[in-house]
Amino acid sequence: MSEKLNLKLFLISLLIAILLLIPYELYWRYVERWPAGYDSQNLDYWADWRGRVDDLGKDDVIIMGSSRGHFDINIHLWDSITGTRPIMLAYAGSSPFHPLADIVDNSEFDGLLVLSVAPGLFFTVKDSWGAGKGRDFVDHYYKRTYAQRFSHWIFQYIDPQFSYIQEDLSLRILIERLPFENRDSVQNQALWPPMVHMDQYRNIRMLKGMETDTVLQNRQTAIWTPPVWKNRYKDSVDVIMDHYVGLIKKFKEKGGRIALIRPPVTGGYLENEPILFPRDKYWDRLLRASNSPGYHFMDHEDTKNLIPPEWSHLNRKDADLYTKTIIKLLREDELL
Amino acid sequence: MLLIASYVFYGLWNPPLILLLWISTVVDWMAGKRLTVEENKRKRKMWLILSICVNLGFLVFFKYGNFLLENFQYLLALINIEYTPPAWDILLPMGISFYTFQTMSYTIDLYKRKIQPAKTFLDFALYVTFFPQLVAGPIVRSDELVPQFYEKKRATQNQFFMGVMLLTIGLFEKTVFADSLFSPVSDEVFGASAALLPLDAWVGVLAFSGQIFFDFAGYSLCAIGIALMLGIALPDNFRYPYGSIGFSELWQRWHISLSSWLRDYLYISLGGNKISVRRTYVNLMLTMLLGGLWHGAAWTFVFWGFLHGLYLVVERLLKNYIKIGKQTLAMRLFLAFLTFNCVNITWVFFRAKSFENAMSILKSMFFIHGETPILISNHIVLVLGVVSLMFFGHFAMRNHSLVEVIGRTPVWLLALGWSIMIFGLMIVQTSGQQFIYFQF
Repeated sequence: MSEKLNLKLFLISLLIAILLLIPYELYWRYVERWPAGYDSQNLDYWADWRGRVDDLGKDDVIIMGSSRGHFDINIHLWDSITGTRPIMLAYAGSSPFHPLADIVDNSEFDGLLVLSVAPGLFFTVKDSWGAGKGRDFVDHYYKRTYAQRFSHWIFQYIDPQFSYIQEDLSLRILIERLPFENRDSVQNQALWPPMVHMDQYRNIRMLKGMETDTVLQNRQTAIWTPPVWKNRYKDSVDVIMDHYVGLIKKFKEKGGRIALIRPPVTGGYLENEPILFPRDKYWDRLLRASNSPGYHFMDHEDTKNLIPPEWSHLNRKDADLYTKTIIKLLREDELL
Repeated sequence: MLLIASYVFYGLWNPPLILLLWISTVVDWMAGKRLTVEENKRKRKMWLILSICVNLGFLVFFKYGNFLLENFQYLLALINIEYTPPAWDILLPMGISFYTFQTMSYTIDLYKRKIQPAKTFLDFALYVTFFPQLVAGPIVRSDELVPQFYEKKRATQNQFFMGVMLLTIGLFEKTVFADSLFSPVSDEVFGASAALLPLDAWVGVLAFSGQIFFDFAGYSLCAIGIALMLGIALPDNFRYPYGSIGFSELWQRWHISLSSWLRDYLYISLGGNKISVRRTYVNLMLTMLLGGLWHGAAWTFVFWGFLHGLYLVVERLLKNYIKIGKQTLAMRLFLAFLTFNCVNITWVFFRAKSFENAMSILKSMFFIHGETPILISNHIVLVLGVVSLMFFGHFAMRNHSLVEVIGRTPVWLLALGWSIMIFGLMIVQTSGQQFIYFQF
C-alpha cells in the first residue's frame, strides 16, 4: 500500500480543491451575477412545502402553475395584506397537469387554489416535457428515500450560501452550454442568465440585473424564442380540457375554491400566444367548462399595461402591484 | 456495529425490505450449519436445494414476476386464449441480485466442502449485509471476507487514505463522467423516435459504453474504498475491460465477481469444458444467456447475453483454426479495438427499451437509414474525446493496477489529481442519479 497516501496529502489536496472553488464561486457570484439562495429547481424544497398541505384549512391558499405564477406573486406581500401566507407550489418550466391531480386526489385541502395559466405549458398532454417535469417533483415527494431526506436535512442550510449551487449551473448543463460551433439544424443552447432569487418559502423575486440590464434581457428573450412558434398539442385540446375540468369540479365538490390567473406577457409571447392558443378556444373555454372565475391580465386596467422585462415575468415592483390586484379581485369575488 | 450500520444503511432506502434480507440470511445460515455437520448425501442435497430455492424464489418473484406473467400472457395469446394478468406493482428490492448470489455461494461452497463456515450467526449476517458491497457488489466469496472479520481490524493510515482516494475516484467517475457527460447523450439517442445519422447513433452508443463502465466501475471503487477505510479488502471488480483482446479476456476484466460466480457455480457445474467441445459451446451459451437474464427481466438482456455467448463460441472456434504468431503492438491495439466495438454492438441491446429501439439504433449506426442529427457538437466532441482516452487508457493499463500506478505517481501529481477530482465533486451537482446496477 502506497505510503504517499496519508492525512497530510489528503488535507493538501482538499485545500487546493477549496482554493479552486473560491474563484469558481466568485466568478458565478460577481461576474455572472448569480445570487446565493435557494435553488428554484430543487425538488426537495417543493416536497417540503407539499408536505404541509394537509395541515392547511379553508382559509389557506395554494398557488400552482409554472414560472409566471411563481415569479409574479409575492407571497410575503400577500401575507402582509391578508394575514395568511400562501404555499407556493408553482414550479418553473412545468405544467400543473400532475401536481394539480396530486393535490385534488391525494390531499384534504379545501381552501383557495390559485392556478396560473401559461398556455404553452398549461395546455399540454400528460407525457409532455412540461408535464413530465411536474410529475418528477410529485414523484419525488412520494418516493424520496430516507437517505435523500437526510441529505436534504443536512445541506438545506449550507447550499443556499453558495451562488454556484443551482441546477442551471450543474456540470451537465455547463457541458451542454460550452460554446462549440453548432451543427446544422442542431443548436446549442445558451447558458441561462441569472433571473431570480428564491427564499426558503419558495418566494421568488426578480434580480435587479434582469430588471435593468438589456443584455441579460436579450439573452433571455433569445432563449424564449423558438425556431418556430407552435402549439404542439392542439389536436389534444379536448383531452387536456377534460383533465383540468374534471379535477376542478372534483376539487369544488370537496369544498375547495379555485381561481385561474393569466399573468402579463409581452413581446413574442403577446404576439404568438393569442394566435396559437386563441382565447375563446382555450382560456374562455376552460373557465366556462369548469365554471370558474378567471383573471386575464388583459381584462383589468391595473394589469394590462404591465411589461415583463424579458417578455414573461414581472419585475419586483410590478409583481407587487400584480399581487395586490389579484388579492383585490379575489376579495371582490368573495374567494378570499 | 458494522452489522447495525449495514442494516441502517439498507433501511434508509426502504426499511420493510430489511425483512427480506434477513430471511435470506437466516435460511442460508441454517442451511449452512446443517451442511457443515450433515453427512447424509441426500439430506445435504436437500439443504442445498432449500437455500437455492429460497434465494432464487425471492429473485424470481421480485425480479421476474411481471416478466413471467407477460410472457405467459403472450404464449396464451398465441393459442387464442385471452388472459389479463393482475397488475402487480412489485418493488424490486435493491441489491437482491447481488446478495442472493452471495449467500448462495456460501451454501454451495459448504456443500462442496470448500470453505469453513462462519463462526457465528452475526459473522454470517455481516458477510451478507456488509454495507459497502451490499447493493451492487462486488459479489464476495465468504472465504474472502469472513476471515477478515476475525482479524483485529483497524485500517492503517495508508489503507484509510487509499480508501479515501479510491472513493474519490469512484464518485468522480460516476458523477462527472457517467452522470454529467455520458448519460444525457445516451438518453437522448436511445430516446429518439426519429432515425438518426450514423454519427449520432455511434456517439450515443459510445456514450452508453462509457456511462455503464464509469457508473459501475465507479460504484465498485466506492465500495472497495469504503471497505478499505474500515480495514477490509474487497476484490477488484474491473480491470480495464475495454483494453481486452478477445471476449474470454473481456470476461476476466468486466464485472469480475459476477463472471467468476457464473463460471464457478454455473459453467463448471454444467461440465465446463471437460465433457466435449460441443458441450463446451452449449455450456458457454447457457451461462451467458443466464448471465444476460440476471441483468434484467427483458428479452433484450437475454439477447445481450446471447451475443456474448456467440462471441465466446466464435472466438474458441477461430482459435482452433487461426494461429496468430507474435502479436505486434499495432495488432494487439487493432484486436482490442475490434473487441471494443463488438462489445459496443451488444450494449445497444442492453440499453435499448425494446428490440425495435435496438434495431433502429443499429440501422442508424450502419447507414441503413437516418437523416436526423440530434446531438449538439459539444456532446459529440466530448464523448468521442473521453471515450478515446478511456479506450487507450484501458489498453495501456492492461497489465497494471490502479493501486500500483498510484504508488508510482509523484506526490505533487497525486495531490493535483486528487484536488481536481475533489473540486469536480464539489461543482458537479448531479440530481442524485441512481447507479445503473442498482436496478439489477
